[in-house]
Amino acid sequence: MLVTKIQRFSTHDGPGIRTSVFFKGCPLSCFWCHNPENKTPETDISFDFKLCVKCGACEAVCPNSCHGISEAGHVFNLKNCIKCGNCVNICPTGALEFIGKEMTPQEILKEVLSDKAFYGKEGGITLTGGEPLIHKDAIELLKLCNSEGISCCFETSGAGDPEISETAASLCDFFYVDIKDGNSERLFKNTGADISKIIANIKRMDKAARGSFALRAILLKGVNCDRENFDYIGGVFKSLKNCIGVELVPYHALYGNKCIRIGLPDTSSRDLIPDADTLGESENYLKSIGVTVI
Amino acid sequence: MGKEVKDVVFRSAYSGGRPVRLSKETRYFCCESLEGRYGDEAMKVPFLSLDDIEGFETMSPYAKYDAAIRKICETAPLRVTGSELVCGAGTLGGAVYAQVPVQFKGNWVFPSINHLTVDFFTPVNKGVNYYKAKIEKRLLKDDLTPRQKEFLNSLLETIKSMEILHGRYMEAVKKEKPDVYKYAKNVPFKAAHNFKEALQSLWFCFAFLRLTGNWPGIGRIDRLLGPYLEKDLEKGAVTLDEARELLASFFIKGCEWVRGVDAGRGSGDAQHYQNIVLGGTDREGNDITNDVTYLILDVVEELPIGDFPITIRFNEKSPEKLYRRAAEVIRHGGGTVAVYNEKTILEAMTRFGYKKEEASDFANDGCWEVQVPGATRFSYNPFDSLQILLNDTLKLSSDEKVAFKTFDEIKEAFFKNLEGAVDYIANDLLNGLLENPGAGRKKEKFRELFPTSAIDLFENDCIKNAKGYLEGGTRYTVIPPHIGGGADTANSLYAIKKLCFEDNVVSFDRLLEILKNNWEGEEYLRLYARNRYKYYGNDNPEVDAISAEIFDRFSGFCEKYGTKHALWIPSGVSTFGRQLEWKDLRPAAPFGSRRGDILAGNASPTPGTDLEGATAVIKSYCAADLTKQVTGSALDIKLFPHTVSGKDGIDSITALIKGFQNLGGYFMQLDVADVNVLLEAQKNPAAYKSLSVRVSGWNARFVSLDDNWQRMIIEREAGGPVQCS
Repeated sequence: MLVTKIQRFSTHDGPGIRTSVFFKGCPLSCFWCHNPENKTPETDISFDFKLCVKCGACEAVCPNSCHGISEAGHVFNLKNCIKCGNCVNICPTGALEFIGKEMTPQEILKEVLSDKAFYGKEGGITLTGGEPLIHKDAIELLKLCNSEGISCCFETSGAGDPEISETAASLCDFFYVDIKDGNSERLFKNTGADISKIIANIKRMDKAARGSFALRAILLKGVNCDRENFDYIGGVFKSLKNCIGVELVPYHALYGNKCIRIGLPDTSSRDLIPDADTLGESENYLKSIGVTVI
Repeated sequence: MGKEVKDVVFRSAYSGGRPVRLSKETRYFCCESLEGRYGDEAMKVPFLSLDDIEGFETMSPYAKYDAAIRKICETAPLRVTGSELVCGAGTLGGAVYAQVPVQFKGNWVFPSINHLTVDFFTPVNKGVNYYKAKIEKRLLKDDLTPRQKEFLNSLLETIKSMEILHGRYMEAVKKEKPDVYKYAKNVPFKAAHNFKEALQSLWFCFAFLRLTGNWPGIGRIDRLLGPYLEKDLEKGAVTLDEARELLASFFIKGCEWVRGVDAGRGSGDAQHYQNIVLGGTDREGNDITNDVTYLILDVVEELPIGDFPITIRFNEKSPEKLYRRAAEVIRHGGGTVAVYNEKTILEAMTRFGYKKEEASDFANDGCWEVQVPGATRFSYNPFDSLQILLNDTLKLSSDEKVAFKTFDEIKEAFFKNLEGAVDYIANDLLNGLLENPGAGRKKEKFRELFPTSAIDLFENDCIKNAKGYLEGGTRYTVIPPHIGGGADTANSLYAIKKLCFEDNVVSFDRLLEILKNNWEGEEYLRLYARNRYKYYGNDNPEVDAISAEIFDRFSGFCEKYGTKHALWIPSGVSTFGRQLEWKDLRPAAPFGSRRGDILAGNASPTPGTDLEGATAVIKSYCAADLTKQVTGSALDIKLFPHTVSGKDGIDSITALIKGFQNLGGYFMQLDVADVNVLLEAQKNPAAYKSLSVRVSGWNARFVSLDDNWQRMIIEREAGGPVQCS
């Protein structure tokens, strides 16, 4: 499995103190993706110009002259990059780094066990990404954690592999599933997702769930803050057995730098951030139609 | 109330703000106190002059001391404020200079005492008159030298002076505050009979000690006052709301030395070692957490008072509610509540040589170094292990060449230098304080120093031994060497190991040359050293093994002395902000620091090198066997407001504390601070007068710190240097 990051002391990815494991690769292509470095299914090289001191070490070791350093700055031309990693290994500041490392479930478990003293009964591991539930090995990882007595949790787009999703739900104490938009055409256009498959997946996970879960609704101003979406979410929520409520996640525009670092265009836009009024109205409306907002 | 009382809002790092439970008057009183009204007032009369005392120069030291204390009690300004519910005050501002606030012909006469927690249980539970009887009885024995007789009489004189002060206050409150008069008139001389009397008794003793210049810690206030409150609640004599107001008054009055923003800056103004310890077990092993514990947490949750830094003794029996309430206070920022792990501390103390029941009473010296309150003369001796490595072992400040062939040779040479430093400190202490060092623990005698009778009264065994605090009167005299720069030293050794002996990035000889030149022209290598390795604070077993070895070997060197002498020499880990004094004395270090950088505080990571979050920092810190650091090892943890927001945040702080306990931690202070707020406060101090930050064992109002201290706090919270515009 390709892992981009193992983040210890995560305090908002499920109950207690958790270690969040970010998997690389996602079947969707949401234009607002907050973790763009996790989109592609292969290792990338990221370049953070803020950390670069223009020492030129990378330029000297690159076999394909991808790095150009001048007075004006450091240009990293990804086109000819063969990801040999020479530059990453010599960079003194970490401005150049690999995004994505192949890891076995055992290797991940070892890292997760580092914080066992802090998990107690509540805390543990959270699989996230990217889409964690496209990796068969995710199941083995969850089983390993279960056998170590570590509570498991995941965050899914709902577009994971149905069988993996179902099994994962049966191995976890809690999880989050995105419900990005109830308008099927808009959803497809903005993310590439097929709403019927997502809903079928959610229902399957609901049935298999060992614990409970929450729906996560991202709110983008001018995109999906409308009654059509909320009514749809309400309908789904009411049809579920183990769902404790809907968490509203306002869009943020902080991922722009992450796009640039991996050579993608910066698609973030402050115009999409819902204002306080929109947030309040959305929450009130959802509550008025009987949805538990958490 | 005659005057208009404004509504006040107190700052918090938590977006939900602070709760409101106290009366408008009490909240306003707090605001006035934190803005420096009483501190500025105290500075108007910083000390009293003894010039008018006839023949003062020819008096014996004890006669001089007694005259000084009497003068203070007879003539010091009184302060009774409209809203206060406890009576008495430290009105002589010169006390903040750690002096008895009197002068003779323009000079201070006696230094005062700090870094201790006296015994407040005896005066509150039995009354100061109990001491009087005990002293009189002791005077009847025929084993006393003339100086010892003079000492015991000085204690009686001290009580007399205290009675004079008390009389003046009672005169002042009798008519104006008849309620207060009722519970203040008999204490502290007689035993307290109810909660109000007990609190007043405690405050009056504390205020008396501060008025005479001393800075005692308070110790286990809930253990002392809890039983009184419990009885009164049962009888219906007091309500929880009333008790909270009274305790708030105690806390607000404790800020009486806080100065206004124009008072000048330094290492912070809220560091008079008035620490409070909450929770913990009693001698039978039962957890004593009670209503007073929670009421005090209520008070500091509502009022941003950092002047009584609180440490909670957590143990396996601590109630779940205590964790939650602690977390709820911690998330407001200010670093008011810190954590002791009782299990590690009790094991450390008993293994070192304290009796089990005495160890269970532990509080601190008013900072966080653990001691038996009312039974310990305490001080400590700080030194910098990084300078030992860089200057003594690697000779970076001289032209001398060193010839080491392996990493182990370097490490062992360093340990030899470290042992030499400990020997030097220990022998210096033994020779300096004892008349006959080496005569054996029972026979060794302390040298005569100067009178400290006000303190001696509240220290157990001083009456029995007929000797003062500084002269071996207390049951224990404990002066540990404290190692500083431990993380920086471990990082330096680890960097040498990696750069020169494993990864062969640079030769050892060349690295030494580069360090002597402060990395000049070697920026690539400096950044490489700094960024390519995971240093102490990242849960990297390789470097943590080095730091653990440093701390272990250090405590082993102290064990040579241990409890063998009348002066006990355990080990401890601290810097208390000395990383500032040391910054220009330290050459560039192998892990990429330059001369002049502010490096690690206490047992915390080097700023900017901990990248894995709080849990990894705690793991690195706990890699050492902390039961060997008898007086303590302090870890500072910074948390960002968003990390601890919401219910998740409360659960996380709770889990962090429990993990700290599981892993064998000793002492941890958690501060929640937003770097942007600190930067804003730097620019506009007047708007941030009450913003409190944890400095080390103490809190300080941020605006009362000078530029260097502010920089250190900001860099610590930001995890590295910050561009200040």
